[in-house]
Amino acid sequence: MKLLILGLIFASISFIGYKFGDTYKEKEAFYKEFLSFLLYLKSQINFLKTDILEILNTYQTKNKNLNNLLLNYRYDILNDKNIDIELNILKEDEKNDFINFFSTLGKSDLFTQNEFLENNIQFFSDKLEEKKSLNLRYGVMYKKLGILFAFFVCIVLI
Amino acid sequence: MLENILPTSIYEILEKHLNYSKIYELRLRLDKPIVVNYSSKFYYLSLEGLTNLEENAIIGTKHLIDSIVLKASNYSIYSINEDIKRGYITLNNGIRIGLAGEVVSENELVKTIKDFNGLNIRIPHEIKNCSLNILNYIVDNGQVFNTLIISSPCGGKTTFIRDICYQISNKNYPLNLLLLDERNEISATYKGKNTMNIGKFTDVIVYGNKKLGFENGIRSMSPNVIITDEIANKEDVDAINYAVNCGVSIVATTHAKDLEDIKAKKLFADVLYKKIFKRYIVLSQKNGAGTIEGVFDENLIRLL
Repeated sequence: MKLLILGLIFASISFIGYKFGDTYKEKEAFYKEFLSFLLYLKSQINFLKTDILEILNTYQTKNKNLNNLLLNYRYDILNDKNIDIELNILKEDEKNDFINFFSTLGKSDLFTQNEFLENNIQFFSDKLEEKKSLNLRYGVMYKKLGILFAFFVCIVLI
Repeated sequence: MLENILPTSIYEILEKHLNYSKIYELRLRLDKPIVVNYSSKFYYLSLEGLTNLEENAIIGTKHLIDSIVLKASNYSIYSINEDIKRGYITLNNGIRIGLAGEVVSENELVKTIKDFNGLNIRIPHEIKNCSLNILNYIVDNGQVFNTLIISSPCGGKTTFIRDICYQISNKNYPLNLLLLDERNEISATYKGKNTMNIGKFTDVIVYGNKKLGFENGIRSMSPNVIITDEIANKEDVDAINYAVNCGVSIVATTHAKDLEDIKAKKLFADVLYKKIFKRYIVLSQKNGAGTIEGVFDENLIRLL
């Protein structure tokens, strides 16, 4: 019985550490997918001048955070609302990056639009590198810490 | 149609208080009252519908004008830059939004228009059989006479020529028709499909200029009749001469008040002299847009 409880405690604490570390992985995956979306946007706009609504209708992603972001954006523009980002994985300053991007998207001529996309591709590429390095450093660290702390608690309880 | 480009508040006023089939134009001007052309009469738009009182009118704001242009572009101004350079946006249902603003040019070429200060939203209406009364004057034994339809702006030329196209096409004479729809107002073509009914035997070229349309169209589609809108310059008249020399009949429109106005225009001097057009149809807004004032022959003698 005691072993079972210890096992549960160990699993719970490790899981918490794992989830903490996973937020960095999730954020990296989200930025990676968003960068793919930007490249898709660039090709659709630059060569075909496809409008935003059609791009949103045809773009498919398995990343649920990006999917939610694009759905919210679509809803906001169709309902004349100010762009608002509701993603828990993003901090306030990170949300502002996306709000600024989507608030400007589609509102200029082709040349300016392409320049805007190029600048943002560079910007979000840099952000992705930042998230990758954070994930390597802290993502792994929190997972390991979770396991270590779980061991420590189990030993104390024994 | 309009609900995709107008704010809900404005659209609901139109839906609740007005008969859509009588709305011909909506004019929005920066910081000025919104004006509606309703059954060829002008009114201000208020929260309760139409009014003659300026103090009750809804004012056109910059935000409103910009948001209509943005929505008309599906939130993608870059995708309609060519339309903006032309000075108007044509939507997939035939609605045409004329743009007034500051022209940005470079090396005497228009790059774009910015800081829009006025919009003219023209709403097309299909009026079936509006040209039936004159059809026998322009078609004889399965042959279509070269015909010029004349009226001032908002006289109903586009609606009229659309119906002529439909009537000739559906009478099964049989004749192949080619519609050169430079502004996509007559056929309202969207992704290849004509949203307006222009008949079973009609091919359509949209957005191409007349020279391109006439020369390429005659070579590729071998039409018996070409239908086109707004003969406005020497290039258009040359294109018509080319078509007539190829044995193709022409039905076209032009802006002019009446025949006297046509006679006064240098552009048509040669056309009148050579009697290129065998029929002239004059329209007005006297009893609403599309009122037939008269049908005349090549000698400008009244037939109707």
